[in-house]
Formats: sequence, structure tokens, C-alpha cells
Amino acid sequence: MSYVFHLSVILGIYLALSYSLNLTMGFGGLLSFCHAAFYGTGAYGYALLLQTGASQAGALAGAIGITTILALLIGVVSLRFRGDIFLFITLGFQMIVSVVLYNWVELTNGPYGIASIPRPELFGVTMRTPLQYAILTAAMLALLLPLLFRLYRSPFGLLLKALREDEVAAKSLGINAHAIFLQAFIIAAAIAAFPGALYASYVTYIDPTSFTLKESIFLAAILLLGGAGNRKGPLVGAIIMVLLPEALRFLGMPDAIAHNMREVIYGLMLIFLMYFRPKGIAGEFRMTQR
Amino acid sequence: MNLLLQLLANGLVNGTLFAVLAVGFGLVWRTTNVFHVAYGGLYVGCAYCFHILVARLGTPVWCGLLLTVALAGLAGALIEIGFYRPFYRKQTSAGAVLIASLGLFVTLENMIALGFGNELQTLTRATAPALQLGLVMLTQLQIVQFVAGVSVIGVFWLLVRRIPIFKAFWAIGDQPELISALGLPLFRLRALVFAISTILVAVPAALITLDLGADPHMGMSYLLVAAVSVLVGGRDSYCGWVGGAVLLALLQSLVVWKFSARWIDLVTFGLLVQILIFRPNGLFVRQRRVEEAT
Repeated sequence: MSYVFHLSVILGIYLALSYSLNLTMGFGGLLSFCHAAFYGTGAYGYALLLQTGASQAGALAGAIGITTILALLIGVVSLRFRGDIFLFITLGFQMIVSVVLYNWVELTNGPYGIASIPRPELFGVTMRTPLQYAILTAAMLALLLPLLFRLYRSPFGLLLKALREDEVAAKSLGINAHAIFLQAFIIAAAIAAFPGALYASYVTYIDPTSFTLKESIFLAAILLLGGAGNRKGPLVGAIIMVLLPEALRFLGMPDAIAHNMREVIYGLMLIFLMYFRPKGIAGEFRMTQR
Repeated sequence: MNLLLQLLANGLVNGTLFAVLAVGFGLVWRTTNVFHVAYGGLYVGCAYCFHILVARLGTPVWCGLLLTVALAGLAGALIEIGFYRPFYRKQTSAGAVLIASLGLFVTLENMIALGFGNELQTLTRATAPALQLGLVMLTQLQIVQFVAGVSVIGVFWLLVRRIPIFKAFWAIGDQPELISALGLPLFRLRALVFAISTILVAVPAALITLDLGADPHMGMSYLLVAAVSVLVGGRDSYCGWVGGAVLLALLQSLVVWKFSARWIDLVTFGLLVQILIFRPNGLFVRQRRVEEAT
């Protein structure tokens, strides 16, 4: 049973990540490859602030603050561009964040990672079992998803959609494209810090390999497969991508092969989807139309 | 000072190999407008092909290299015919082709890992004899790498300049619809582009495998080297691709000299971001006036 709870924690983390990325990628139409950098900054910020003796709430708030500042810096620079160039700049920033996490040993302990991150304590209960974490994850989703869904439907979400469909026409109506995109980028990053902190406290050990370019591509692939720009897409994508290796394991495939096999299947799915259905399984928008 | 010279010499050797990679990548991008992510997968494929030929079948190194190059050309043409051509016929957007190419890359990388394991495969050989050239010392293999890299770039440059069919490559990039109107076989030219590009990736893949070995997950870093070189040098200029690659390799050597090898990627991608912000057309491309842009 604890296996099911473990899976639901992981699924919850990826749901929070893909729904936040959906704001920029699905609604804004900006294909970005640096979401894992924000996820990682959240995780590292939380773990490091706890080490300095901050309270949990303080550490979480600090992690969100650091991620927001990082997103502001990256966003101001990269949002001057659209399309391919935006993609390459975010990819560049993702690599830079990875290198810093890996090599700034004095701060992040480099490749050795940060071990024994304290378990969170809520209402006098220390979270230990997968069940408790599953409840915590559900609480996080219950906090974040309504917020995001409200944003999706709000005038702000509609502005993003308008910019995605026709930026020039939207600008001619007086919409400040840069400001709107920047806000969406920062909100998405700040929300990614929550699952980062949850992940750090759940596995109690983080190292830079969890937040690489590969992870960013994985997150983008969730939206590309499931579809983006609505509420169904990220759910479909995250379920497929997170549960596929588990399904392979049930088919009796050894773990070592199952990982590679999952990647092969997701590669093939990307190819066939781009050919037959470029908007993804349940998407409403073709992220790759430009 | 000697250390700096030595590192610059090593950087130059790496730079010629990077340049070959960049030319293969830039050629596809410039002519067919395909951001060829699968190029990284083809790098891994060529490296493994070479490794199997030499280590398992006992082919002599020269023979292995030639066979790998021949097979690579075939594989490149097949990838255009079986993979990119359907997308072109359907007039899919460049973004969708990029993602599909990423899918092909992931598939290739993991099929190789499934077949040959995730671990590093090295070619066992005696330490290569080193030669003293003035102040710097280079191994025999490095000299082979340098000569091979320079001659591939030189031969390709001559071909581009002298043989008319290669001029058609640039024309495909500018106006693909016009090519058929001019009576040139568009699809055969595209297949040729991909064949040449894969041949160009096979040479450095084999030579680097000889030195460092091969593992299935190295494709991405060489893809990034090629893509960054092309973006830094400028998409529209052959000399830019080569210049970007050499600049990148020399800069990496300087980082090793001044700081440490750990910070190589920081400088590589820092350079990429700087170039994209301040000179999005690339370093070695004549800056166009706004009215000239298409």
C-alpha cells in the first residue's frame, strides 16, 4: 500500500510542476527548457535555509523568494525573444544553473548533494510515512491547483492566450506583452518551488542530477504528450509519464531495462504525436505552431 | 606559460573536431531548417558502430573508420527519407519537427543503451606515443585528429566553393519551393544533405571514441557543442560555424588554465546567452540592416 502512496506523492509533485509550466508553455505558448532549474532552486533553497536554522515556513518562503528572484533575472533577459531563440536562452540558463549547483561546492556541496534534510512537522505531527506524505501532497495540490485554475480562467489567463495566438494584434489592443509574459514566467517559477521543497523533504537527500536539462525536457514532454493550454492536458501527460515505468515493472521488466524502455516509448510517442497530433493527446493548442 | 601553450594546442585539436561537428549540424539547419536534435543520437550511433567494428570484430582502425563513414552516409539518407521527409511533405512547423527530432534522439540513445548497456565502453590500447613539437607535446592520436579535422573542413569548403550542386544547398535554405521550379531534385538534395551531415558526425565520433571511449548518454553534450558553435558563429556562414567551434574550444582551454575544468559548461552557455542577447545573428556574420531582413 505504501507503494501506491509513494507513487501518488511523485505524481503529485509532477502534477504541480506541469500545471505551473502550463501557465507559460500552454497559455503563453512559450516553449521553455528551464523549469527544472526553478524546481531545483526551490529544493536547494529550502534545504539550505533549513540548514542555517530557519523554521520550515521561513525556509519555504525563502525558497520561493529565491526562485522568484532567479525567475525575474532569467525572464527579463530571455523574454526579449520568442520562438527558437527563447528556447535556446532558457536552455542556456538551465545549463548554467545546473553547473552552479554542481560546482559551487561551498554552498551546495556539489555532486555529493545535501543529505539528512529534516522531515516537515505539521500540527505537531512529523511527516514520516508515505501515507502522511500523500496527504501533504494532496494538501499542496489543493492549495496550488485552484489558484492556477483561477489564473487560467482569469483575465490574466485570457491575456496570455491572446498573446499566444497573435502577439502583434494583442499588443495593438494595448496589452503590455513583456510585462504579462514576465508575470506568468515568475508565477510559474514561484509555484515550482513548492514541489521542489516537498521533494527535498520527502527524499531527504538532493543532488544536482535531479534538476538537469534532462528533467526540464521531461517536464516539457509531459505537456507536449498530454497537451497544454487547458486543465486536462497536464493530468493526462503526467499520468502517462510517471506511471509508464511502473506499468512496465508490472509486466515483469527488470528495473535497469524498464528505465531505458520507458525513454524509448516516450521518444516514439513524441515522434508519432508530432506527426499525427501536434497538440498532444488532450491539448487545445499547438505549442509548436510557430 | 608552457602550460597555457599546451592547453591552447589541445584546445585547437578539440576545436577542429568541434568544427567538423558544427559543420554537420549547421549544414542541416541552414539548408533544411531542421533543428537536428537527433544529430546527438547519430553521434552515439556512429561511436558505437566504430567501437563494435574495432573492438568486437577486430577490424583495423582505418578500415573501421571508413566503414563507419560509409554506413553513416547511408543512415543519414535513410533518416531523411524515412523520418524527416514525411514531416516535410506534411508541411509541419519547425517546432514540431524539433520535438519529433528530440523524440528520435531519445529513442536512439536508449535503444543503444538497451543493446549495449549504460556503461562506458573503451577501446583498450597502449598509451599513444607523444611527440614534442616545439614547446608543446601532442600524442599521435591528437595529431591524427587534427589532420583529419582540418582536411575534412578544407575538403568540404572546397566542395562548397567549386561544385555547383553544393550551391543548391544554400538555395534550398532560402527558397525550398523554387528548387523544383529550377529543375533540381529537391528530395535527392535533401537526402544528400543528411548523408553528408551524418558523415561529418561520424569522423569526430570515431576519433573521439578512439580517445575517450563511448557511452550511450554522451550524445547530448556533443549536440550542444555543435549547436552552440553554430549559434555563436552565426547560422548563415560556413566560416562562422568553424570559427564558433574553434573559439569555443579555445575558450574552454582558457577556462581550464585560469579556473578549472568544472566551469567549462558555465563559460560555454554563458557565451551562448551573451551572443544570443547582443548579437543574435552570430559573431562572424555581417550585421544586416533592418531593411535587409526577410
